[in-house]
Amino acid sequence: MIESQIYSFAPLEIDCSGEWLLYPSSSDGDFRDSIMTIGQLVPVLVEIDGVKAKLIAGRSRVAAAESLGLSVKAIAVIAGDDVSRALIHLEENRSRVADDALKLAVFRYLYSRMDKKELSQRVAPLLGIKPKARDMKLWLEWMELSHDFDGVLADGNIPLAAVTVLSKLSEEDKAAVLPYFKNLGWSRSNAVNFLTWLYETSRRDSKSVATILEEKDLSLARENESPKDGVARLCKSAKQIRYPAFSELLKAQEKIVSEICVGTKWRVESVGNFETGEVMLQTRFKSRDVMQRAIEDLSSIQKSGGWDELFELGREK
Amino acid sequence: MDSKIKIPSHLQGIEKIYVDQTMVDAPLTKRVTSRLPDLPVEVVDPENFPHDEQGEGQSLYLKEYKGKFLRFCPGTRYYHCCGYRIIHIGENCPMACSYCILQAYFQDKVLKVWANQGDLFDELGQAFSADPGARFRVGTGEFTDSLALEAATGYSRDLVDFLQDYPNVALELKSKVIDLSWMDVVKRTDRILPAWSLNAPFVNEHEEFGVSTLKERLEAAKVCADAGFRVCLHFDPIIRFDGWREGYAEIVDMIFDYLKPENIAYLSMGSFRHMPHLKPIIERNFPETTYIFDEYIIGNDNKVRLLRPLRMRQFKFIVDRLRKHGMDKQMYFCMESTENWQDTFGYTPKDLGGLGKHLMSQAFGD
Ligand code: SF4
Repeated sequence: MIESQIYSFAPLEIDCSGEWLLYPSSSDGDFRDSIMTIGQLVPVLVEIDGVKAKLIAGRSRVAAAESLGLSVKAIAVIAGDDVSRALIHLEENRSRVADDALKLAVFRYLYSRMDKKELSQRVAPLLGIKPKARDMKLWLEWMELSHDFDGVLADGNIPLAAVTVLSKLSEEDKAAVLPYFKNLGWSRSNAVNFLTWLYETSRRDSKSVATILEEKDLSLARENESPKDGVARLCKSAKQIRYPAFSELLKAQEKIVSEICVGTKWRVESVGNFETGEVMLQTRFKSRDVMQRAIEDLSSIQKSGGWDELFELGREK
Repeated sequence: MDSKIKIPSHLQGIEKIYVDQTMVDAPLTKRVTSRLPDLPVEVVDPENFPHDEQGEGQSLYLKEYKGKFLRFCPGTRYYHCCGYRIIHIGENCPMACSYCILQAYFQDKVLKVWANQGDLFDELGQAFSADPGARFRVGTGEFTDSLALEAATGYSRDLVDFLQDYPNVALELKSKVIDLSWMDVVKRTDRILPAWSLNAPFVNEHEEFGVSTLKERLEAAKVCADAGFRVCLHFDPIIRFDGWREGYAEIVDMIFDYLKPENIAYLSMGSFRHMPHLKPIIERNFPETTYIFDEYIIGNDNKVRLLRPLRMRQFKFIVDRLRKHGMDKQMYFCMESTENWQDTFGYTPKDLGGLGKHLMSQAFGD
């Protein structure tokens, strides 16, 4: 509920410490300048509790007024409890972009105070999430995790989607994978694949992820390795661990192909996951000369004995 | 025959019977309700089936089915299909095997039985009599287990009885339970093929729930063989687990404690394969199951299957062992490529005159 009267407070009369003030303060210089030149266009929201006014929304305006020595215009709302205060706060900030760090803070704050249905139906839309969207399911799943991964999610190092695998890991395994996300930023597919490959290997081999990480060469960072290369290396290793026989076939294929195609621009690839022995041959050209060269190369590489080996890859005679 | 029965263990989860308004007077309804007189019966409007009322318990739904009863088994270009025809008698199964595709098809625990048997027999009669020279190899175990509900419905027994008039049809009754109650109506033992799925004991013990033991299946197969039937055996799905060689060797050897090769009309082998969306369903329904984390790839039919050399090693091992016991051309693959046939058997479906034709001959005992 909201009153129509506009109050005026000295900034220090307003208590800005409420935990429901979930959006970070956007106190940039432009905002201060605007208040200085035009004045406060929009009143802040407060809840008046005896002599003190509790701020519900408008932290930046209060901060700007304080620094300029101005009073703060406010409208009084009647919230009554922390959940209502937070909901009004979110509603007032609705036009702002909600990133994962903000969503995380909101859901963490409200998860223990509301039931899941309310969270989906009332809170999610305030953050730009549809109540039935897959992301909302992921957020609810994330709420079941301990807070250990909150930091790396808020930093954007791990995607929300990783929760589907994280929630299957034991506490020991979660602790073992956490360092991989402390300093490296992972894309959604890389993170989900990396964790899935480790988890599935652990289930298949009846070993903990922690043991697998210890046994295999999955060192966190290497000297002179860029974060991008680090993620690529870890993904490649995890995939090899998860699919050892398939990786062996790929390795054999690469070796044969490099021998067949040496010195040409032809690329050869087995297709169909070694089910049929079929291969695909590709090259590019944009002139008759290059095309002619490619044809000559093809007629020369077709004599290679490597083809027979390639056609037989994956076969068990 | 239609009085109260002792409910077999695999049917003890059924808590209620639903009957379509139009099927209240169907003979099948009368039979089921008299065999299971203690179960509550609710007559339903098929347009408003009470899906919301369904909890954890199973229910039996005697339904008027409006679709096609006789169907083709789906095959693909790369993998040879066996050319089997499916008689659709109902949907869903009271048992629970971790690898079962029915989990992906049916999310509820409603066991549907097509109660309009008259319509089914009319359609079958027309199809089977259109050209008496055309032979059919048919089975009912595609969307259900052929005999899982037999104690309550007597469906297969009716079908066996109906098919007496169609010597051009060989019926396979494929099951994981033991129910031989249909045997007494059989006049031509050479047209009915009792069939059981077999697997390594580990798979039977850890991945199949509510079903019979391997020993019980083989004992039943022997009863059938002794009565003059030839049986079919199916190694499907073949799965890798620690000690799979010992496990599959054990079951292969066990077969021949009960049967002779000539008692077996055919024996199929299929490696575990599934639509990709089945994996999370298995993971959810059977959290202990680990074979789903083996090295699978997407095959040419867009199904997930074990990497070729890994499954070929299993096939070769099983086939070698079966051959030592005298098995030969009765063995076939379910959905494998020509190359894999060649590499395992040393011949291809083409060498047999085509898989469908070959199995037809095996089924009819030519
Ligand atoms: S018995 Fe057959 S139909 Fe029933 S759950 Fe097992 S695999 Fe599925």
